[in-house]
Amino acid sequence: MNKTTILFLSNTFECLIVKHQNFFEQPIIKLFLQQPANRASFLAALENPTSPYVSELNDKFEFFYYRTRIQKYLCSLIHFYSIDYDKRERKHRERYLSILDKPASEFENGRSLLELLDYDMDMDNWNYSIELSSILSDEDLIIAIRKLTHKQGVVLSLYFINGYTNKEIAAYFKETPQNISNIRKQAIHKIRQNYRKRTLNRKEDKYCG
Amino acid sequence: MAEKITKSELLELLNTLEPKIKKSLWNTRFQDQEDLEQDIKVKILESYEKIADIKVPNFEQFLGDYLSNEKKKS
Repeated sequence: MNKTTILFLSNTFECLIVKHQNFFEQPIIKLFLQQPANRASFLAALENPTSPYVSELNDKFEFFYYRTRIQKYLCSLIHFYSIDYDKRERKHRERYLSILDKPASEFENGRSLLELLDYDMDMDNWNYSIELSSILSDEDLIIAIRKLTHKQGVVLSLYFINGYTNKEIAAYFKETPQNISNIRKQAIHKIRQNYRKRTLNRKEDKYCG
Repeated sequence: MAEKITKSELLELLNTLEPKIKKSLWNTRFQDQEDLEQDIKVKILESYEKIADIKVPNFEQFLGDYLSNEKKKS
């Protein structure tokens, strides 16, 4: 134990709070003292500033600080890694576009990727709302999706199945991206409402009926 | 010296961080979200050595640093 600690701990708690306001306002100290066990050991050390109490306080604080640092480290890691990941993927997509009418590979007799996929470019005849509900297995969700207007269904499937951005969908409809965004949000809201209503009704039938 | 975090504790911590990870997935488009989730988890487990090596002061040291900083200010 060093002298400054003894000197610090020789004050009463009220006196310390007034004297060293900044110390107690630090987030780590605040959080540390919020936990009853930690607070108790701090008060014990304050009452008896002898080495067993102080070393217990030391250990508890160190343990707490260590965990907090790890938590903080991991949170930043998750946050920044996800941003980096997106940047990297975006760059990759922009640099290595797949060229549809180039010969696909040497084994395909010079046929292009487009011919191999037998892709139908005619988007107008594609029934999107059927498309979207056919890939789902939850019946309530399918029913909720069927209640959407045709356009909402098209926007949703372009967004979720084809992975188009708002901007690209807007170009397809010749509308503004903001409008597409609104349509999508409304559609999801509507699905959520209908879905909740249905599942709630079913639960009521099951438990109250 | 505080005891270092064990690998099983890190796994537990990973579970508690699940909501944070889920939220960060929206930083990328949803086709990549599953890959990203896996990548993040691998990254966290790989960083075990680094995490275990984080150094923290104990209460006395923390207090000492604070008091000497206050002295410098005044």
